[in-house]
Amino acid sequence: MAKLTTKTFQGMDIDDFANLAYQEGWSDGLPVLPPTEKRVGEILNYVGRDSSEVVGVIPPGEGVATMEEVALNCAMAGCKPEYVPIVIAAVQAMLADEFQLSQVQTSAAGAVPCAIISGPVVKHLGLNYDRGAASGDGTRVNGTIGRAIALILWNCGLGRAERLSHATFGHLGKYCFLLAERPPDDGNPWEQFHVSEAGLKPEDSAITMFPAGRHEQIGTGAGLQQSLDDLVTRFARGFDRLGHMHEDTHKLSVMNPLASQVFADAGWSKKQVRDAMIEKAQRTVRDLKKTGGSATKSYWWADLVDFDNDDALIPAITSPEFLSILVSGGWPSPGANCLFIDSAHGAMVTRKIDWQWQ
Amino acid sequence: MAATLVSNTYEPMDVDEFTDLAYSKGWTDGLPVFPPTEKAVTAMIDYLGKDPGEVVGVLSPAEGIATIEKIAINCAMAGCKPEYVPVVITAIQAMLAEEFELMRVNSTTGGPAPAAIISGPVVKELGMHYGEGAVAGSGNRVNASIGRAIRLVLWNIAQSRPGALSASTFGHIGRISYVMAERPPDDGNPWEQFHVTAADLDPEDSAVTMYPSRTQDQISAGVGGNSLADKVDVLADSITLGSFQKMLVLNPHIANAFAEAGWSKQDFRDAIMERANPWFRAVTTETLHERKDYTGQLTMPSATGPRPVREELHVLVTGGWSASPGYCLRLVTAHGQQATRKIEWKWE
Repeated sequence: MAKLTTKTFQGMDIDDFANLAYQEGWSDGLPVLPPTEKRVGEILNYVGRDSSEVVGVIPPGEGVATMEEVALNCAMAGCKPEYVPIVIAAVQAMLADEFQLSQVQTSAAGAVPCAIISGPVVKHLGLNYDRGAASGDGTRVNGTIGRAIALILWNCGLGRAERLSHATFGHLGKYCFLLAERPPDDGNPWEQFHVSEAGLKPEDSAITMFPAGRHEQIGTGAGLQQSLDDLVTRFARGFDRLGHMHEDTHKLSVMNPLASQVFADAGWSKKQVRDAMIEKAQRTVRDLKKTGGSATKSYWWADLVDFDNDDALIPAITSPEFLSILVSGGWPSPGANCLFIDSAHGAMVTRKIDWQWQ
Repeated sequence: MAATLVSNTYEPMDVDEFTDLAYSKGWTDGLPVFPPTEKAVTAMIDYLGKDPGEVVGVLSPAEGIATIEKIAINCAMAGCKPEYVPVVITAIQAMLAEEFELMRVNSTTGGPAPAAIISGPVVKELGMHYGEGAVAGSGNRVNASIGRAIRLVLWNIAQSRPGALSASTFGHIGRISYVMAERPPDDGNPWEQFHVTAADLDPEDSAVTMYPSRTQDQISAGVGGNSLADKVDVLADSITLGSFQKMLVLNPHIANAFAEAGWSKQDFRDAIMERANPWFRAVTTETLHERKDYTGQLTMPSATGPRPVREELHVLVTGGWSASPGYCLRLVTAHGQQATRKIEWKWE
């Protein structure tokens, strides 16, 4: 049994615990489970790591996320021990410099990290990538891994509203935000996400943390009779609205299996679809001037085009690496709802999950 | 006096066993729930002073019978205090309105999540959060547990479960807890309260509006010195005329910028709708860069008869005082229409 250093509370009933959890600020508002010594001990024994080992220091609170703290939050989130290696990988990915966790946790944009899980681990742990994949589908592994990540950011990182976090609205994914990719043998016609976006091997399992700001669902009509050109245009239109034209924003197109299959059946690779969308997602200088007044040339796009030519077109996605395509979700109706997610601060970070499940 | 309950009870077990049981029985949508102890459930029913067998409604698609007892159990699992439960009951009543189309909301591929918009004096009376981080995860027990209780009622009683009676392609990230409390008139909201505009209720009423939200899109109204007219154009660029209702959620900074220039909420709404995009179906490669102004008088079909398209946009003020980008939210429904109900309860 691992030796724990955290303060313990003795023999209270569960109703008392609930009140204590809210009072002590251990919860972001939703129920958490009592992190019993038994559960926390099981988690630490399973991962076989020293309870005092430091996984990282979490901004903005600069809380030290030891293995013990990570295990406590996983227990509060309802994780089984075998889910915890993924949570650890998520924390490590968010601590990469380029993720800018401090800004993600504190800025007015109110971004939240979305965990994207891909590779053999998806089927191995029974993650849901089908209907209801975006949240609240009843799958313990999806719900509790996402929840544990959120609680670590809450309790170790102290990214709390009106204190260290100044999100204007915040984000609905703040409680739990996880997407599992459809595997190649179940409706995903393309290269897996960690292969196309991070150059990992197909047999690897990986977690990608995406600092998600905007979250939108659009009916693309992929199952209706329309030309591929029009279908690409509908996707592009989801990326180039004036309210979303920000510098260096990373766009994530989450396609349901029908939409991706329509493109794949026509012989399009993921890269071809991406490039076609980028080409069509653009707005005129005349339109863009409305987003920031016309008195200054200091805007991010001013160097991309002739500022004085109102008809010149400005790309919504300035570089191919700023658009990623993920296949997830259930087989849809012909309206084919797809998700459109934009980053706010920070760059997406992918990490291989270094763990072998037995 | 303790109410007589009819639900199954389980012999004393430790909380780790309860958790495993809750997942194996399917009582939760994936996230942890508290054990609904007899003590917590009874405290709620006693607080309400209602018969536990009283039926609030029958919830589609499972046709589950939402009795006071079953609602209290879900509220206990969600972490509600007894005084929050009247708000949850009002939310259920609103979702039973014909125009809300709960059956479709709960089962369609669009996978909307009912957002609860709380407005009126109840916001301050219960200490709801409407500042920074107002949408989710602010740590406020009232907001979070009311939203969670509504979701658990839909999960357990209506059985809106993906792969079973719900065919949602993705679902919605609000399908965990989805509550927005309106800023009160004396704290940054320059306009008429939401329930007054939406349902002709009195300003001193408190109300719940249920909004079947398919999307929750954060947009920036512009930075620096863009004019009010430019802000309208930028916001309207994300509004497409069509068969679903829309909502713009403004932070107090932007709402006050318009109000101080003399704009009423209706002026703002009308200006946006005049500049909104034409039908989505008309947006093809050829028309992508031709954004025609809309001046027509369309009416939209709905479960309760045609309704004027100009009234399809609702405006809510909440959230923190924004930094310069002026973040706003845009919501769109998928099936159904918003339904507002007065909260018939007096808190002492």
